[in-house]
Parts: sequence; structure tokens; C-alpha cells
Amino acid sequence: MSSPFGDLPNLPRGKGKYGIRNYLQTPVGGAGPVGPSESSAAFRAPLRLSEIKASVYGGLRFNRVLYAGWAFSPTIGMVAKDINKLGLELENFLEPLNAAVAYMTESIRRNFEEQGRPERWEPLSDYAVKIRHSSEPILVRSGRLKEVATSFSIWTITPTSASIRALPSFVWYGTLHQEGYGSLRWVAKALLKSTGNPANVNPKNIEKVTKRLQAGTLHPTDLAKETRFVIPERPFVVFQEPEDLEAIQEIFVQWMEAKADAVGRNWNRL
Amino acid sequence: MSYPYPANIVTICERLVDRIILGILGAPYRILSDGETMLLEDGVFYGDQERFPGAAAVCVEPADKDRTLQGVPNMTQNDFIIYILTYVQKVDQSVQDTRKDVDNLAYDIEHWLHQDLQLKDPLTSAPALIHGFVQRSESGLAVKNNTLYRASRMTFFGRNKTSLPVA
Repeated sequence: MSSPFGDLPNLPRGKGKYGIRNYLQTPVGGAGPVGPSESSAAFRAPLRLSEIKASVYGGLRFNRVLYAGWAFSPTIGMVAKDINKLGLELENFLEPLNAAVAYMTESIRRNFEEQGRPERWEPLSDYAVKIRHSSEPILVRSGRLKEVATSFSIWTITPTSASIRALPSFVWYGTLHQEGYGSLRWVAKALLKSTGNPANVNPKNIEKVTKRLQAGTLHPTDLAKETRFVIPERPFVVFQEPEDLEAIQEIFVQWMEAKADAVGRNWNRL
Repeated sequence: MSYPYPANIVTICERLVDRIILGILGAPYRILSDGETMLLEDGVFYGDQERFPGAAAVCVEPADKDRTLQGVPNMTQNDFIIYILTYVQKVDQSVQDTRKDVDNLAYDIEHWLHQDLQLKDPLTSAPALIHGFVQRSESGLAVKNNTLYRASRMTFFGRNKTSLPVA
């Protein structure tokens, strides 16, 4: 498969997850029938911006719903190892991942400041308002959860991925707010988790099972007990779509451009 | 203190229905030979039916409960027999394919059920059986509402123990 002819300035941004896959199956500057071998690296064609974009959009993977038992669910993360390296000999993505985590930290801080994005979190119950003597800000009382959620240290960063897999035990209640507790929707999630396949826990199935629970066609024994106390879902650690995904992709594109430039493969410098 | 195992066959059957529904929701289902996914979620029933909403259905039919005394006073061993009936009827495909579809569906259900031999409650993990498994699977035909369905009947065997005055 050949590279596309010419630059593609209108390549849509933020579409990596949704359709644009790596169409550059052959490494750019690879050995041709009469050209030098790839290993010699005597000649490499300059990279086009479109190639870099396609490489990033096709290879950067965002995990928004990664159920990891009771630890913290959903966890979020991003995996960069599938990025088409375009012959740039990239081995680790720590630099753009760190920049992406810094960006996400600010995004999470905005979630707290705006009390839920894009939809506002459900207001506190009358009982909660009475206990804390205020109805706002939601999820911020001592500020400890917000401080932890917007700290760099809760991220696990490897050379190819960055993720939040759990909250520290002293802010255990953050998990309840992130995922909700006791609602029929929560029971539906628990039922789907019990099938043992995390892929089953998707919004479509959650909706179907919730409807079945409402209709009484599924029969978990302790439904009444499990739904006695309800904490609504107020997700504060989330990728905002499409802005966060686009911004992170842009971080990677800029980083790869800089790398291409550093090895003399800038498309502007022939 | 409530005894951990239920003696009511209805509870066992409801657990089976739940498990089959959840299994179908999670499986990329292969009932049609052309690769199309069949929506079976609405075709799972407690008890055998005369009419089905779609081209395929699964019915969980309670059959038999056998109680025998055990050595301990008042303790009984309960053996449950439950039939799981699967039906497929497709006019736009060959009889061979329909036969394969119904046998595949039966095997998939058998496979899902064998992931948890104790039929644990998905929320509390409380077991309903000491063990339970599909003992027999028979292929056959059934006429429902003047329509000939390719069918399969699986015999599910489950065993638990209860104390007599309690359950």
C-alpha cells in the first residue's frame, strides 16, 4: 500500500479512535526495489504532516471504561504503543504522555470547578445539604478528593501508557462518587461484571439490563438491600469528548513533528 | 440465620434465566450462518411458551425436584431437574443451517452455565447449588403455534442441601 499523494491539510482532528486507522502500513523511507536498505538509513524521505497525523490518530488509544474490580471504576488511561513510528525509531513516549497527563490534570480540575462537565452533576440530597450546611460546591468539602484527583501522583506512567487505576485508600469515597452506588444502573453494572468479561460492561448493555431490572425480568436476590442507599454517579475523572481527545492527539502530533525535525525529516526542509 | 441454599425450584430457574440473558447480552452471537447477530435477549422465558417474538427462543422449564433424607437429622439433599429448551425457525435458510444454529445455541448456553457451577447470585455471590451442570442435550423438533421449530432440550441437573423446617 502506498503513501497518500500530497499533504492532506483537511485531515480531521480528533478522529483517531473513530475511523482513521493507520493507512501507512509500509514504513516511510523503507527499502525500495533499487534503493538503499532501510538499515543503512542513508536516505529517508521527509515526512509529511499528514503522515504524522495519521500515525498518531490511528495509534493512540484511549481507555475510558476500563473496569478494574473494586479499585476504581471506570479507570481511564491512554496507550501510545500502537503509534506508527514512521521510521523515527521512537522507543518511549514519556515526554508526550507527561504533557498529556498535565493537560488531563487541568481538565479534571475544571470538572470540579464547573461541578461536572459536560452535564452538571446531580445536586446533593437534602440530607447531605443539612449535614454539611451548604449545597455547593458538590464533591468538595475538605478539598482532599479534589487535591488527590488533580495531582500527578495518581497517574501510573510507563514509556507507552498513562492511566489512573485506583485512588489512594484515604479518599476511598471518590470511587463511590465516580461510579455511583446502589442505583439500578449500578446493579446493572454489577450484573454485567459478574459475567467475567469487562467488554460486556458497556453503556448499551447497562441500559438494557437496567430496563430489565425495572421490568422485573431479572431476579438478583438482594435487589432491595443493594438499592437501599443510592449515591448518584458524579464522574470527575473522565476524558471530555471531543476536546480532551483532540488536545492530547495534538500534543502527540507536535511531539512527533519535533522528533521528525530533530532527525532531519521535516517536510519543510528539503 | 437463613440457610444458604434455596429449596424452591423457582429460584434455581430464575438464576438460570438471568444467567442466560446476561450470557446472551455479552456474547457476540453467531446464531445466523451469514454472520448477522440475532437479538435473542427478548426471547428468554421462564417456562415453555406457545408463541415466540422472534426466530429463536430459549425457555427454562422446571421439571422435577427430588428430596431425600441425609444422615444428619432433618437434613435433606435436593436434586433439581430443569429443562432448557431452545427453538430456532428461519424460513430464509436451509434446514441444515437451522439445525446447526439451534445446536450451537444450545452449546453456547451450556458453556455459559458451566462458567459457574454453583449458580451464584451476581450481587452477593451466594450460591444456589452445591453443583449444577447440563447433564444431557437432545436435538429434536417441536411444533409451536402450527410452526415447526428445530429444537434442542438440555437437561440441567442441580444439587443442594437444606434443613427441613427452614427450607
